[in-house]
This record gives sequence, structure tokens and C-alpha cells, in this order.
Amino acid sequence: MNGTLRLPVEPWARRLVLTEIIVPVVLLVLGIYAGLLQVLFRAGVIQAAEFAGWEYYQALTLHGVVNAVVFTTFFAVAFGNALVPYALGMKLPLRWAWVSGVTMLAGTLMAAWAILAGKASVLYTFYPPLMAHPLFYIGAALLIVGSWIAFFNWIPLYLRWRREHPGEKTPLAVVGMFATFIVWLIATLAVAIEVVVLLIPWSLGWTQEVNVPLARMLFWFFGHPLVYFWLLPAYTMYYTMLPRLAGGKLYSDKVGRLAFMLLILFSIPVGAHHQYTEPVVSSGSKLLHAFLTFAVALPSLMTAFTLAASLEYGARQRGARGLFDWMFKQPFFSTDAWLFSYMIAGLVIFIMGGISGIVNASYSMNLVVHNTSWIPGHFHLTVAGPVLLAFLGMSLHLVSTYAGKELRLKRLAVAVPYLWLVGVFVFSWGMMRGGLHGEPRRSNLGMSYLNPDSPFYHPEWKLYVTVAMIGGIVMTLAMIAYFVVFFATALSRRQREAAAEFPLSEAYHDEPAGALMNLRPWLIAAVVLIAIAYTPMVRDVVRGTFNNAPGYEPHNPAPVNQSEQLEESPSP
Amino acid sequence: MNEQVSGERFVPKGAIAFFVALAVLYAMLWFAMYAELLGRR
Repeated sequence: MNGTLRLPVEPWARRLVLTEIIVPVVLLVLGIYAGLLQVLFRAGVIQAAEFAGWEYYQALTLHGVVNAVVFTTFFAVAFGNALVPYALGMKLPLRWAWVSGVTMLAGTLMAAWAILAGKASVLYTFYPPLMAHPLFYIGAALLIVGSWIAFFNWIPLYLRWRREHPGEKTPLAVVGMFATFIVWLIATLAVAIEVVVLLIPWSLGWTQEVNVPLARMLFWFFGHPLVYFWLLPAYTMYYTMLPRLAGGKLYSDKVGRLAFMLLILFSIPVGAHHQYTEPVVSSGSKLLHAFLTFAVALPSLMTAFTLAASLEYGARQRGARGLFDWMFKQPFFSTDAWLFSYMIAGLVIFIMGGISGIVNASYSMNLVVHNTSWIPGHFHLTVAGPVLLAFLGMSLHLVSTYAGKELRLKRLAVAVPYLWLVGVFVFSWGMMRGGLHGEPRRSNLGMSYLNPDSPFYHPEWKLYVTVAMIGGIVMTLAMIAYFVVFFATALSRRQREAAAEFPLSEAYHDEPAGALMNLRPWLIAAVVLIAIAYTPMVRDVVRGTFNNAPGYEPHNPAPVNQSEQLEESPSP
Repeated sequence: MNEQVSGERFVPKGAIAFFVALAVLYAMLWFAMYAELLGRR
């Protein structure tokens, strides 16, 4: 990172960012272990409902909640707390930043207790009528509220910067982080309504039944934009840091700004593409959301071209010739630009994640893959591809710079993303091919379809689950290597003053921003589009739901309240 | 216009070729899945 601007960091800002990075990485150890258990359960290596005290659905819930929600939310907040003040050249207001961090931590501990105690095996989608302990929902709500506080804490900095720099473009890194949290804020309003109005009163026994289609619609209002909440910090790194790491410049600053604004516009009104098989949603709503989902692919395709051009520019400065030589003249294994390996490996994985997502979004084609193992095969190519690798790389960068320590074991650090790339491709091939042959997702196959003693034995899937298991083991090895590098760095002796330091890129085309100067019109357009896409869907759900549902637990076919009555009634 | 162009103008021919190849790959994979869908009628 030679030549990057180093800004001193206050001790309490340093402690906050390090806490917000180290806590979720510690939890990620559990999340990765739970992921390994999944492939062992599914491949039939474990032919039981539980292993070493961890039940299948409990482990699946922990894997999803910790990896996809807790780790990502903590990371996005920590990254923003470091990057936004750095890019604006200001100090982070500490009081509310700490209120945010403590709120998120309290919520995480509540939800983690509920899951580890086996009282919240409801998976990361927490679909009713599966019911969790109230602390799971309250903890999730606190995690979200804490992340809102972090965002609200950056807004006065941004407004002050704009007052002090009239007519100047907001730094692209700040635009990226604000796009991330605008999408997050709008999307989480729906899930907050679901949790606070529907699920918490229901789990506390204040209401007996819940409107399942309404809860699912509110979840997917949040659930798909969640993907962009994951991707946007990675895009921020790609646009603002990757070109510099590759020795080049960002090809177009304006395209970066346009991609962020389009993601604000199109990220949210797309939830129905997760609900194509739900009869309560009209086909008109589904078709509209399908078109909007294709629209949200546009900023990703723009990003693919712009990043390729940026990488090509850097490689041409180093003598690359011809049409494709630039692809191979990149610092893939450089220990000086080690962060590059995390970003480029993520982008390669995302090529397959992108097309499999377009398949999922295609209205009738979705029926080929719906609820099969294709779906987790796909989303491991997105959230466990560009997102995870960008976050892992940046977590190493933050723990190194904010703790004032040199990254340890750099060669191993560079190997991690490539080992992960191999693992996730093998894993996803197994899952997606199996899915095309009807292999279900969210199922303990070792208890049934992959158990030769079961009447449901389905030997055709044996190859696919075995391949997925091998991929899962390679992914676990990559993560073990990452944890070794992370904790070796975190626990090493401090070598210099802690400082904020990011390798921000210059732009080759540094165009005027024009209509992209101001977030407000894009935000208003997004709200209008959401109203157009969701008003008919709300009407569908309200008109089409005739019965609400009582709560259930995964292992019991009787509703929770009836099970409690049976346990309390005296034996005949 | 505040473009920072140094020396020879850079035209990202390689990125254009990459993007065309990406579009062709995506079309092939999408139509392969479409054929899978039709095969299930």
C-alpha cells in the first residue's frame, strides 16, 4: 500500500472498528463449522438428526444468521465507520458510533443465545409459521437498529462536507457507502414491521396466529435488497480500490456513481422473484418484479465492463498487448498488493453467480430450480464469492492498519481466496447439478435420501452431494487459513501507530457528475418505484389470505400452543 | 470536462472483447437452462 494517505485515528475509534471486526470474525468460526456440518449431513457422512450436540436445522440457522447477517452487518458498519470519515477527511463522532456498536452487539448476543440454546431453529429466513424464541426476533431487531444508528451518525459528516465543499463531487467511496445504507434502511423498514408487529407479539403469546403470506412478502421486501447490502461494500472496494491495487486507474468515475444510483433505484422492488410459486401473489406482480430484477442486473454488467477496462489500463502500462494479454498481467500473487487477490477471486466467482441469478429471476425458468439445492449453489457464488472475499480481505486490512500491525503470513493470506475459489466452484457445481436433478435444499439428506436404509433412498444424488462435500471441505480449509492469518496478525506485537489507510484510486475519466451529484432525486424515484411495484402485491396478500397460522417448531407436526397444552394436561 | 488523459488515448479494446465474451457465455448458459425447461414439458 505504498503512497496511500495515512490518517491518525483516535484510540476509541480504533477500539470500536477493531471490536466490530474481531467480534463477528470470532462468531464466523462457529458459522463456518456449522457450514461444514451441513455438507457432512447432506452427503450422508452423518446419518443422524444431530452431531456433537448440534441439530441439523439449528446448525443451518446458525450458519445462515452468523455468516450472512451478523458478519456482513458488523462488517459493513465497521467498514463505513473507517472509510466514510477517511474519505471526507473528518473525525467519526464517537458517542453514537459506540451506541450503535453496543446495540448491535447486544442484539447479536440475544439471537446467538436463542440459536445455541436450540430455541430458534427457524433458518435465516425465519419464515412463519416456524416460531422462534422472542429473544431471537428482539436480537435481530436490535442488530438492525444498531446499524441504522451507525448510518445516521455519518449523515451530519456528509452534510458538513457538502457545506464546506460547494460544487465538489462527493468522494466515490462515500457515495458507495451511502448507497449501501440507503438500500439497507429502506429494506429493513419492512422486516422491522414484520418482526415488531407480527412476530414478536406472536412469539410472546400476545397473538395466537400470524399472516404467513404477509410475513413472507415483508421478508422478501428486505431479503433481496439484502443481497445488494452485501454487494455494495464490495462494489465500493472494486470501484475505489481495485484499480489502484492493480496499478491502474478507475476507467470512469461517472459509471461508478451511476451504478450506485441504479442500485438504489432497482435493488428493492424485486422481492416477488423469490415468491414465484406463491399463489397469493398475482402473476402481474410477479412479472413486474421479474422485469425489475433484470433491470438490477444492469449496474452489475456496467461494473463488469468498467472494472475490466480499469484492469486493462493498468496492465497496458506494464506492457500488455493484444485483446486478452491484460487479463494475465495482473498482480495475482503479489504479497505487496495482497488485497488484490481477494477482490479478483471474488469477481471471477461472481461471473457464475451473476448468470445463475439471472436464471433464478427468469419467471418460468425459476420453476426448474425453485427450492432445489441449485439455489444455495447459486447464492454461495454471490454472498460467498465477491462479498465474502472482499469482506475477508478488507477485515485483514482493517485489523492490520487499525491495530498498527503488519499483516502476518502474507503468502498464506494470498492463497486463501484462490483456495476458496476452487472450493466454492466445486461445492456449487455439486449443489447446482444436484438441484437440476431434483435434490432439495434445506434437507438433512443423510437421514433420508442419502441413507441406503431409508425407503426414500435416492442414489442418483450421491455423486452431487459428495462433490458438494469435497468443495465444502476445501472451503473450510481456506477459512482455517484465513483465521490463522487474521488471529496471527491481531495477536502480534504492535509495530507502528494505528492509522486509517485505504488505497483509493484515481479516475482515468474524472467526468462531471451532472445528475449524479445529488442522492435525493434517485431516492425519490426509488420510493415511487417501490410504491408502484408493491401496492398491487400488498393488495394481493391482504385479499388472498383467508386464514392465519399458529406457530410450529421444526420437529413437531402439532402447533406450539397445542403441544404446550398436551404437555401441561395430566396423563389419563 | 476534466479528463486526466496522459499520452496516447486509451481505448479499452480488451475490456470490450471481454464483455462480448461474457455476454456470449451468459447467453449460452441461459439458453442451456431454457432447453432444460423445455425438456420437462
